Amino acid sequence: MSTIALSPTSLKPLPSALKQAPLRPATDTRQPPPTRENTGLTVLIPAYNEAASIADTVRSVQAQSMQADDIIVIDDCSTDDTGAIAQSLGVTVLRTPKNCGCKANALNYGLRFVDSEFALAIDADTTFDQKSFERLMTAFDDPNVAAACGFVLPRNVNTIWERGRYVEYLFAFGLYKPMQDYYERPLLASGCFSAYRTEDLRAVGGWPTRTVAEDMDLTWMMYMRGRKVRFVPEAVCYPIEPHNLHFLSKQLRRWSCGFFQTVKLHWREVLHIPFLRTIVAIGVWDATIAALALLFILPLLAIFVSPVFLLGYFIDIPAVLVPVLHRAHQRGEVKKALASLPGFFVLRFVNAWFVLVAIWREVITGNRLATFEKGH
Amino acid sequence: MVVGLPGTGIGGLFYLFMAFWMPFHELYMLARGRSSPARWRFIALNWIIITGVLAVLWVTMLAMKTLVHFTGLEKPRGVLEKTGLVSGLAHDTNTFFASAGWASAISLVALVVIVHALRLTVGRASKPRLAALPV
Repeated sequence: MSTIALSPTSLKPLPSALKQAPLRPATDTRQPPPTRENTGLTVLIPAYNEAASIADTVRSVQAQSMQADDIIVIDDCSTDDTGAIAQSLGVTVLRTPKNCGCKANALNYGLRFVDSEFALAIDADTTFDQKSFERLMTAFDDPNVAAACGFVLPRNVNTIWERGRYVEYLFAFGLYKPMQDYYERPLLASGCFSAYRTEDLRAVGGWPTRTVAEDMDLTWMMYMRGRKVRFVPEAVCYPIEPHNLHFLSKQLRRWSCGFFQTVKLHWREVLHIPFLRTIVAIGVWDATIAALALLFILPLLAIFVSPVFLLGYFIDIPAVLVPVLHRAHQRGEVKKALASLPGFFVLRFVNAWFVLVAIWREVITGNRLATFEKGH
Repeated sequence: MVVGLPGTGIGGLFYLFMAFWMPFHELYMLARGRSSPARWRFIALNWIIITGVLAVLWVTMLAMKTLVHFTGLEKPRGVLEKTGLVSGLAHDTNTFFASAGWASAISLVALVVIVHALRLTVGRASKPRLAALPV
């Protein structure tokens, strides 16, 4: 795929940007600007073969207490009925001239058609609480905030992988992320549900395509420009998470490789961003050492020295359980969280494996992951 | 997206420490006129959570020690039996838990020191890296 670097101002002001944009294919159903109250918000939904989930997502967006000025589905040359289904629901559908190859490219295609103050990017398999948008957008009351993200929870919690992810999210979004937000440095604005000030988005050149973790890359670039990113826990979204190991593998490969790609790209700049530098360093350390300990060191010690070392697998249960049950209690889901806990410990082994594979690929051999594969 | 292995390694220890540090940070924010009752409520909630974490951690260690004692697992076995420091750690659960805690704490402090040393010695990139938009 050929790409060129555009200067940030080449996309502004909007009218000229629209002149530069490719002609819209026949399926473009973009309507004139709405006459109702202008909320300054455009929702961008990149979609590739999402026929099974796009309708739920669009309906969930349309049911929000805060209505968007425009809802744009970017149909990335789907081979199923994604575009037709979205069109039947009365939203704008843009079809890319050819498959963009990754979510970031599809989003950038849609960004050319955004003429509002804010752009909200969501995944095509994600639904929301009715007030999620309204709550999320409160973060922008502060003019220094360039991006805001919400709380993520799996929509389906059935298989062991979904259950593991459910506990993982309750823990990470319930304890780590609020703490990061308190210190004004959320590690990333999650790609499945994040809003941006359009001006800031264009100033950094849109969503980055150079890593497979475009959300993390973009978040760190916002920090480098001295802008703020916020986490709003009251704004909840529900993506469909991988239900089996096949799809989970694709997702974890992309996440793990994307993390190391982003660290390699930005580590010099990140060193000068307080708090972020520490959580990134700890992330790298834990990804390496904890993964090695989990998969190799503890089993070897248990075999060759004493089974006592197997306790290492369970020693952090309380650290996980307390914040998880706190969040689960708030949602009335304590039984679900307790039943899902074993899945978390199984998922940890799989995470550890893919983290080590990512280190091997991205750091040691330099065989970087360049293919964007969505994990469901 | 979740990075690394939540709940494992020194990350948990770091966030516990940062939760304890919050009131002091908030005093600084108060002095700058950026504090609020909502922020103090958030701090109180996090203190309750980490107190809960520490309490359950203590109970877990007691339970594990009891389990190890009654199952006879404290006796070293295997090819490295009766040899070296590692075997000694397994022999005494108190030492085992204390060593795990100290190893994590020392690693965390060392990592923070290394990061700050790098910050002082490594310069910023010469120009900002912009993303590339597709044609």
